[in-house]
Amino acid sequence: MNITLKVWRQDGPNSAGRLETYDAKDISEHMSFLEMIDVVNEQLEAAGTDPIAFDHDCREGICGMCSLQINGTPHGPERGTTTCQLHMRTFKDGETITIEPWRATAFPVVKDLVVDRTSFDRIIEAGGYISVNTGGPQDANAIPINKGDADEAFEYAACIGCGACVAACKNASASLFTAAKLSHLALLPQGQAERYERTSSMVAQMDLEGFGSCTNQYECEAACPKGISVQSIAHMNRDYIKASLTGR
Amino acid sequence: MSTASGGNAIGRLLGSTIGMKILMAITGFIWIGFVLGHMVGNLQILLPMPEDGIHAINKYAAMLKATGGLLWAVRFGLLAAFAAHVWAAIVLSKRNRAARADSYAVSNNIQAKPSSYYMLITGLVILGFIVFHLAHFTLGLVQPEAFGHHLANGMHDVYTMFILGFRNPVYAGLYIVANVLIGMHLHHAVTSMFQTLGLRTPKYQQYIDMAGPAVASVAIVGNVLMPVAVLLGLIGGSVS
Repeated sequence: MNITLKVWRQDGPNSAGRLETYDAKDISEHMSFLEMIDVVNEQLEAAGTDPIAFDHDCREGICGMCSLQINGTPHGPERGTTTCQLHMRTFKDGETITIEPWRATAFPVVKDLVVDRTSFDRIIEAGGYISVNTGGPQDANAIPINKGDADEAFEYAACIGCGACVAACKNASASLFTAAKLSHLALLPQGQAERYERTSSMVAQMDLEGFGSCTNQYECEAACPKGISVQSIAHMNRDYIKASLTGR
Repeated sequence: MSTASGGNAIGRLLGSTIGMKILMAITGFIWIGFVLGHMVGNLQILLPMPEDGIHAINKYAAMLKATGGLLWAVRFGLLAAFAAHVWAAIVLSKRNRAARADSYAVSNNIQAKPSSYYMLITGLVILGFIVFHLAHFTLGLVQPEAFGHHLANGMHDVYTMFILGFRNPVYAGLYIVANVLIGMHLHHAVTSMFQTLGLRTPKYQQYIDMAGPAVASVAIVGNVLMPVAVLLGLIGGSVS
């Protein structure tokens, strides 16, 4: 299949970017979206042009490294799928595909389609962990956890931190990411001791990074490759109200 | 892990985006209550004229006026809630714009409802409409000839003001459009409020998601019914 690509090219963090048009010829419909870019990059390099910079790692949909705003949707048109698991058969022969980086002030562009997502790391550093300062690991299943809580916590733990929620949100809000990380720990016994302090500090860090506010449109949930529910945001807000009222 | 910085609970809440959204939810809730209460009170206009010639809406208006201090307390409370709602909207909108300084060349909406996209616009229209509505029916600046009528016993004749006001198709049309936009605002607002306050739990989610459209429908039908009834001549035949 033949595709026309409009790709955001930007030399560096402080350079002005622009959309450039490339022809991707003889693309196999069985290729993943990233393999298609690999092919285009080989052609660009052969022609002496700088290849398109993009983030990728595992290419199995579990690492959270790949990104890309494809025709205005994070990770492209296929629901519950990361860009690396998106196949070219999703597109039509002769189609024009626009590829842009995640757009958020808290995710500055590094080069072309690569953005700096360390703001997410700083939100985790603010409290997305459980402090265990001593002792060996416990036996598995030593602490009973309700099946429902375990399942819900597991759903939130599935967050791969890719940033699609921020990319999809018209306010570039990181609420779904922060809420997934908070609710994951808040539902488990191990997370209780630091629960409200964690909520306060991670929310404060989220605001400090310059993400927008949540306007409950749930575009994040729809764009999330792991299908994480905005129930986590309601959970975060409940805990945040409690944390603020009790001064924790 | 740093704990929440000092100060009181309200100060801590207003220092964050979630806190500002909570302020919007609570002040919005107050106004949802007002919009519905105001509507139910005014729907008395549809009641038939009683034998004594004192319409139910006039008795209702006299009753409200008689509360005196309470009426003013409610008015100031509503004004404060409105101001806080608008202030939070401005602060958050500016912040949200700054959070995406560079926009997408191609943007695509997956499932967000139109009502959620136009909250700022519908909100601004509502602000303008409330100013107009106060000037029209509370201060009598818009249509002085319809304002200040009294019954033989000295009671304020709200009924006549109401009927004369909506016999004018321009004013009636304006109220109809404004109330449809209020309904659009509520369509997203009511459901959104529950989510912001953390009350949209799995157990109640399906009902909460219906609450926005339901409240919006009730508000639109109830409020649009009044000017339409006057325009069609279904009520107000006694007013010349």
